[in-house]
Amino acid sequence: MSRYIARRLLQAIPLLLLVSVCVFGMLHLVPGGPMGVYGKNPNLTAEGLARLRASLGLDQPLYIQYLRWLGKAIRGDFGYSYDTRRPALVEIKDRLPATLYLMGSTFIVVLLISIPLGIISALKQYSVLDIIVTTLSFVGQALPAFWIGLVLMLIFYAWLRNPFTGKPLLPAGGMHTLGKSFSIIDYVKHLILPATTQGLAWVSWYSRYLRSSMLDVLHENYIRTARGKGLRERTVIYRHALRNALIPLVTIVAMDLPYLFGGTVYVETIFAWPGMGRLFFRAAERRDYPVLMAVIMISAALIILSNLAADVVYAYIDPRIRYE
Amino acid sequence: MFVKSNATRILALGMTVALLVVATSACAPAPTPTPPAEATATPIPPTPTPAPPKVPKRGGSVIMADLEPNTMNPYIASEMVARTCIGFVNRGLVGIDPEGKWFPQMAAEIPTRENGGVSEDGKTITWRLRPGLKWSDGTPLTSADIKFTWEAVSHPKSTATQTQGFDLIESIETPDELTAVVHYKEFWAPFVSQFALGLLPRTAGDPADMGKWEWNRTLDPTNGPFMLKEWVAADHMTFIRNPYWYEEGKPYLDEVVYRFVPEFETQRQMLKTGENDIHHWLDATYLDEAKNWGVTIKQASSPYWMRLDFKLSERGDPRPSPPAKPHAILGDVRVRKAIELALKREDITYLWRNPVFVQSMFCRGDFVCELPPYEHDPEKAKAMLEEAGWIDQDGDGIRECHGCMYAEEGTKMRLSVTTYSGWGREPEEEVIIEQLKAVGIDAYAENYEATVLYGTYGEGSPARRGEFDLLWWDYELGVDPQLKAEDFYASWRIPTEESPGGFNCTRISDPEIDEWLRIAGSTIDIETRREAYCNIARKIYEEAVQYSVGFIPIYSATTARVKGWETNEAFSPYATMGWDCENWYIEE
Repeated sequence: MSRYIARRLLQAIPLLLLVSVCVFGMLHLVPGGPMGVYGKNPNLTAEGLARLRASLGLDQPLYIQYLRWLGKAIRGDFGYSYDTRRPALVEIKDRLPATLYLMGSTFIVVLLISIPLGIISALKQYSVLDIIVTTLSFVGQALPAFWIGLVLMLIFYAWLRNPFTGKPLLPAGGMHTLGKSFSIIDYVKHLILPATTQGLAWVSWYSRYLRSSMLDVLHENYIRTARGKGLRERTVIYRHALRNALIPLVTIVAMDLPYLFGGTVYVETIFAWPGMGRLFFRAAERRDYPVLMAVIMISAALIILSNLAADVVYAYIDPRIRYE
Repeated sequence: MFVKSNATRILALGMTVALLVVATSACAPAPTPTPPAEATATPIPPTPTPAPPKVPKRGGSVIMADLEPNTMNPYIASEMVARTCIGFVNRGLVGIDPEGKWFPQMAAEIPTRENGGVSEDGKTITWRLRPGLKWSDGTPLTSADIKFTWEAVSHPKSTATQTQGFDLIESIETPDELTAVVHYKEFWAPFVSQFALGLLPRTAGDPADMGKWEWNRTLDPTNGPFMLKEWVAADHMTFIRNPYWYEEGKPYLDEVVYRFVPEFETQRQMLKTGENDIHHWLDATYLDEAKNWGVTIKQASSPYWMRLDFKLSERGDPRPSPPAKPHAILGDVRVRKAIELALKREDITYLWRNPVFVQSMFCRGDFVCELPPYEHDPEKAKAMLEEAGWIDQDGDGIRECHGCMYAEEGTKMRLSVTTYSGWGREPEEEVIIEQLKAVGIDAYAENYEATVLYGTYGEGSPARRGEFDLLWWDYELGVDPQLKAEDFYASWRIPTEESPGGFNCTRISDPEIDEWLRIAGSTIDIETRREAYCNIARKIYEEAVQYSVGFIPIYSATTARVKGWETNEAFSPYATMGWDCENWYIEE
């Protein structure tokens, strides 16, 4: 297994290099460029614009720009944002904790909800509960998440009031109440709406997936054998069926882990959450290539690592799987 | 699916129907906006001028929710939100009021010939600071800071974006702490605005590293009514009173909390509940509803001048005509005039409230040129097109060339209308297209992202490369018109491969206009300049090079408790929302 992991890590290097070339090329193929944000500036002369381009290194041929970027990136320096003039990694560092907090909390709650829902739905197939869960899953996946976010804000912020204070029941945005000393309750209240908006689709997806996987497993021969041997139903379900049903879900969850880093644009925009999604969107709007490259390359590395982690966990869960 | 019981079946069916109703209501397309038959918009009642308070109450805090700026350096910041934030904390030698008049701020007075501030040839400007000015750390603000500002902004590696005029400065002398003598290489008409955007403290750092200064994020020290207490990335900024602000007793507020809320709907909801005291850029469609929110709304003219530009030379050719061929359709002035007759500004701007229409860019401050308003007469437009050889012979509603001036016989009269997407221009563009179709022109939309349309020649901007027919867009005019007038009308400002700067996207190349621009740019005399600009305006109008509309209105709203504020957007980047924040106060 160690040799397998080492081999996969070594393979990741040329893969990341290829990704960097493709991403760099594609970013520059997109119409427009970093100077477009200054287009309406009445005070920027043509000479000033040329000087600005030169000072940002944008007057060099593309391959020179790429090689300069690569030389720095290897040493962990992803350059300076064209927009803010701050190091790209500092921009990421400022926003990563907020994203990890939102996405991580959401992820944990999603798993805590979707796994039991999936199990119950499978065990009580075609029951009223199963129909409700199934229908809500379809709804959760079908409705646009940004619409859900705005509706939740309308209901819980604009309409409903705290009966004791008369203020909105839940906050509209931000991570916490400005000017208030640290309060876990305050942070949790600010988390509810964005997490619900983000998590609804995830719960729908995971619970459906686990339900389907459980149904497949429950019809397997070894489950019939376990029941035939007189094992308690709880042991049959949780020790034999669930463990096998979780295998594909573990793979999917592991591959979704990089989303914890990337955040989501619409949730962060609607709820003014200071995270990575907004950073990426703003960088894309402004063609802020250093920030875009940093976010994409880190995401690519995380995807490679999470795939590897999924394979390792898969082998751990399923003893039939062995890597050379 | 095998359903076990009737009850379950009914429940499933009922839930499915209910959820389908909800889902389809979510997916229902928004109704296509259509211009009203008559203008029936409820005008905003004039805000009564409040009686001046005896002594505004000192203290209190306001919250403003808006986008996060990219930097607080006044000479790197390029976007309006940054200028709004900077207005709280950093001020220049002069400020500008809503009428476009400069007033001294850090400077003791505006330099003129009469007070000895302007030399005979206009190339030497003497600035005198108010005595006793201090930075927010208590250190004196002196003429050395003026000189340092120039050195930093004009440094080739500074990454400054507000460079106008700085590269024309030859040197700055500082004979004493209150005096800075600026020597220009050549006469620079907008010299009053030179240091209007702000002043940089000489302790900020190495000019070559201006882009990376810590000062850009801390503004420590600064010279505005407020100073920056903290900037929490992606979350908020807090401005607190600057104890060294030069006006005694001001600012009245203790602090301004600026929350970064990127979604306008969220900002509006927060305004309704009072969590947001100041909402900049209130969408016009909410004006009627906002009257019930208990807020104060004020309208101002934005700095963005909207107009429809005609491409005069052949589409796709960046050169003017000659040497390029004239545009096959728009090259004929009769066609351009017919288009102007077909359009109606009131309908195009149906989403604007109380629009102010102008006939040219020379419409503000000292340089107002009177021109007759555009006529709207579709029948006359049709007759003019017929006369120009554009006739619909096959009866399909689209004219073809039959004896027209430049296009091949039988060419369909098809024109693209280009604008930038995502910022509310599309409904206006739709009306333009409808009005052109009504006179037999097959108009269609061809839009780009703003960053692309306004980008550089090298980045493929279709405007700069001449890859358009009709361009529906806007531009910030600034205060002094010289730079923009040259950008739009000078033959040497036509963007080409060799000379990619400039915004003369119509490709007008007229020796008379060039000469008038040179005259206006070489004298300090207002009358001479006005005459030159008005000649240009008349020529542009008579040649139908552009169809001028007006300035996009901006609506700002505050909760009723916030007093003492006035909107001032028309002369951005020199003034935005925070321009008079030292006068804001709370009245519960």
